[in-house]
Amino acid sequence: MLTLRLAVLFVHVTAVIVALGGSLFSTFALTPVLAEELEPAARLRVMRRVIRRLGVVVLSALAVLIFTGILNLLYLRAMPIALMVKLLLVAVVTGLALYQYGSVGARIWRLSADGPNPAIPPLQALFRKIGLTVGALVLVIIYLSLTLTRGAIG
Amino acid sequence: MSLTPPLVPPTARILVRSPLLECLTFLALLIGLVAAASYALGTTTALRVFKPALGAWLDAHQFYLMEGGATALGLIVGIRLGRRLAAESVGGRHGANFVMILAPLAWAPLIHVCAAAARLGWTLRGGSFASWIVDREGYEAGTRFLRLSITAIYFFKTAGLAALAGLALIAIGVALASSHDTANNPSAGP
Repeated sequence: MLTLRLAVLFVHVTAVIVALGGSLFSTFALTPVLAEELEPAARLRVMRRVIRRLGVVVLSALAVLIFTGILNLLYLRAMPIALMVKLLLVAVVTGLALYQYGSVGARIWRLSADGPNPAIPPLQALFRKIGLTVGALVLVIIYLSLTLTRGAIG
Repeated sequence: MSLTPPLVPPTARILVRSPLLECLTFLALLIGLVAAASYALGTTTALRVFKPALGAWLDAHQFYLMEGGATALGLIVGIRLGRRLAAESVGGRHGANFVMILAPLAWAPLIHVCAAAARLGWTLRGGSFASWIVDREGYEAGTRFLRLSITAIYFFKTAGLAALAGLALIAIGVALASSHDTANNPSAGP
């Protein structure tokens, strides 16, 4: 059975999976393997493109997440405190992701155009740090979402 | 002349001030707050005495003006905040063009959606607060204060939800700018 509510929820949950899954894969699978297998110059060439493409995927997923999230609110009957905290965290996560890909990632992209540069490693460390913070906050958001929908059970 | 190198690399894009966004922020704040205050204080009753036609028009539209103003304010604040955070991607004069086209299109549907979501109750002790304020300030002042606070909360909840949508629009803008850069420069490097 397909209802509008279910369709919106489906897209919402899928967007979370895409945003979080992409970031986790890049941080814990791709980056360590690239560091072990590729020379610095080649690694930089691959990483700059991965960051750029991942930014498109993650930010698009976040935008979908916000719009479907606002639509999901229409099906609720109240706005408990957990939901308000969740909305606040969503704003923080979106802001951090925008800074991560829109400023730090864009700077890495531009600086790495001419090959290795001493300014890039600190930016990559900052990029990774923001990514881990975003990932942790998304996990808190998921927990809050579960308390909102499943909190009454048990 | 300073011999120290510039801190910002020459290739970096700097955030450009947008007078249009500043003007729109002020306009949305003004319209939204005046409409919210008018709705909360019931000024249209007084206005109807002096200018009946204007009073009647404002009475019929002030709630929609408040919702529209709150949504526009939130949307613009979200866009400005997002532009600042993603300055290297969409901070330029032409960087946020797509967002500036999409925002007015998204505004009308967002008014209804954000306002409807903002109407959701807090599930806090609203009834107790109403009793407390009426008990403390008296019925006349208490009910007026209650109406004012409910309107202010509604205004800021609507604006907050719209700000999230503004951030989402900037996220789409950054994603598009990144795709454009990648397509134009797919294999840069040594």
